[in-house]
Amino acid sequence: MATLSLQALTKRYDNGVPAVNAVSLDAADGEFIVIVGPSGCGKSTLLRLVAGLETVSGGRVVIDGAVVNDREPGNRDIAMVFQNYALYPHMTVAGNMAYGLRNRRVPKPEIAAKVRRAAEILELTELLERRPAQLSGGQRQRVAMGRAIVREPKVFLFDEPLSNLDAKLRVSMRVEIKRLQRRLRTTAVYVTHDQVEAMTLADRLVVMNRGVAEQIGPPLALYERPATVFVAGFIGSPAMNLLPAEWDGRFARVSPHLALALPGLGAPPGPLTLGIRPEHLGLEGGAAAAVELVEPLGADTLVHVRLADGPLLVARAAAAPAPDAPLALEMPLARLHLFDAAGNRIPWEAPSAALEARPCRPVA
Amino acid sequence: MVENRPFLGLIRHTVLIAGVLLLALPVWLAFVASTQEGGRLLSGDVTLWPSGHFLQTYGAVLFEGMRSAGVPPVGRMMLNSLAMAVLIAVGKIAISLLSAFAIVYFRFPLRKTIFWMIFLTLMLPVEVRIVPTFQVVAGLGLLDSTAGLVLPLIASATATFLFRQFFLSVPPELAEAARIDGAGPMRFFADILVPLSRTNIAALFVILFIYGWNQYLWPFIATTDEAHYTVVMGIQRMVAVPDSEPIWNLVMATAILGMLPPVAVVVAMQKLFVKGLVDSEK
Ligand SMILES: Nc1ncnc2c1ncn2[C@@H]1O[C@H](COP(=O)(O)OP(=O)(O)O)[C@@H](O)[C@H]1O
Ligand SMILES: [Mg+2]
Repeated sequence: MATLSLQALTKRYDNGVPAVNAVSLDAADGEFIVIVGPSGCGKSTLLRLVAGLETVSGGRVVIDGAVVNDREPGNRDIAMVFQNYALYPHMTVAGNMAYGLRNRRVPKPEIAAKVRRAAEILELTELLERRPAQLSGGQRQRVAMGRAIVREPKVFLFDEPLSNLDAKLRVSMRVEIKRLQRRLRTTAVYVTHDQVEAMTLADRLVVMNRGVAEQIGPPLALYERPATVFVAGFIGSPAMNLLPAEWDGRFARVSPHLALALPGLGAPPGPLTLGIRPEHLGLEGGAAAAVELVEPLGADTLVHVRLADGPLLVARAAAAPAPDAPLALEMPLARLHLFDAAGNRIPWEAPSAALEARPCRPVA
Repeated sequence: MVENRPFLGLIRHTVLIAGVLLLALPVWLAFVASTQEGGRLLSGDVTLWPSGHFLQTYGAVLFEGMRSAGVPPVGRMMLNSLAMAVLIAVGKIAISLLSAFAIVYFRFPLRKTIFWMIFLTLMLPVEVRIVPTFQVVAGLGLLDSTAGLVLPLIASATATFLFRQFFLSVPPELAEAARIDGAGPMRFFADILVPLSRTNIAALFVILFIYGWNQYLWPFIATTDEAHYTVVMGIQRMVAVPDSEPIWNLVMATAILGMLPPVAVVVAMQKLFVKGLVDSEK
């Protein structure tokens, strides 16, 4: 039970490029923070800074009100689950779980009781005397979790703990991790590159890109109001449609045949990016487009459509349109996201009068 | 390529059996010679079958030694050899484990240089540095002592290199997990690295034990007191008797007895030995 605070945390490796650049974050007691971003964006580095496995180049790590920058990992009262589990191969499951307690000189009977309790929670009781080599991937994953919870640390750290599991197991373990964290009410920082995992687990999400925290907030807030083009493109699957456009003060021109009137937008003329999620694209009324590809998913269908002389978009539709049939693409103004040339969100609410009008219109 | 044709199988076995015979023949001859009467061997009258003097010869070497050559009973020499071989093997393994640990897991100035310096000592076996080594050991007053026999042979670049390679193959997350579990460096070493190196240690122990047991030149130079003779030296003394013929049956009996402990070590540790050379059980 503790708070975790990162203050302008920075890490520069020997090559001088900051792998983590001035990341600040305040996690409340019991909060589940998920750090998500593409490979190489600095997620693991950030987690390792919190764990104390890397030295901090700038800023502070504060756990439960105490600055821990100079504390050894063993003295930070954290527990970490590694991607490859890092179980001690020569120790039994019970031995793996007990090792951290033994090093802290917890009395033997107490260790035994704690290991037993953790094993019960994770359904490992039958496996306590096995070695890691005699376990399946999912069981090893549980043992790694057991090793973390048995210590009752202030903060859990997870570095892509599910990425070595097959898809089905990943989903069930994901649910289990969430349930476990709810039950134990322990502050957790969870790193993943999988945005579905991120969305489903997080109380708050941190989207990282090149060492910088692009946006921090509850998953749905990030989904509904991404602060940057990067977040817009990263969160959501299939990804948001991002269309480069030229803004002339009245119209945003997407292609030679398509321009959108954006009433009330005060931005200076110049390039901007329009974003719209696949589920918000309508397939009736609007700009002429042609179906290129249909991907039926069962519950709904992904339709890849190309605007005449323009970009390719993905729409999520209830039913598949007839192949090669001409389509009319509709982009509801209320669902549009706008980003400036630097990639930052332009705050804009379409005036309600405009919402009634036809949103897309061909330019003569 | 595994083929299963009877004719090829026959050839294979012939070749293998011939190889075994070739290797075993000298050992067999030594054993045969050790069961003969002393004089017969000098007459040039060689047989391939043991004769009846087994108990006599072995009794003599075990309990009396060879007074004329100043050689103590074999038992005593075997103990000396055993002490030397075990201490060399254990010492080499302990030192190599620690130096490989330092080189792989710690960042300190001149780390690379030090590694290469250790590596360079491969080119300096005892035979090459024997004069200065003798001088140092004599200066320390360690001639005619077990410490003097063992210390100059105890550093091992080969073993250090082997452990270094093994440690490099251990996932770094294991060290990190141990740090988070509150284990300091020596604790990680003792609780995790050493147990993981178990098979490597066993394989090395076999090789190094035999290396130590077979040491010839250094014990020959560093000991003059017969109380510190090793088996190998004892044989040399028995052969190099002044003003008379060596008593070959005694020499051969000593040689046969001297072969037994290395054989015992190999047999006892065979499984671990092969495992240690073949896989790394991670
Ligand atoms: N030990 C290191 N030395 C130098 N650069 C490193 C080291 N570890 C990671 N990096 C670099 O830092 C960046 C972030 O790495 P990492 O945190 O592992 O990314 P992620 O976990 O998000 O995939 C990468 O560009 C990587 O190359
Ligand atoms: Mg990573």
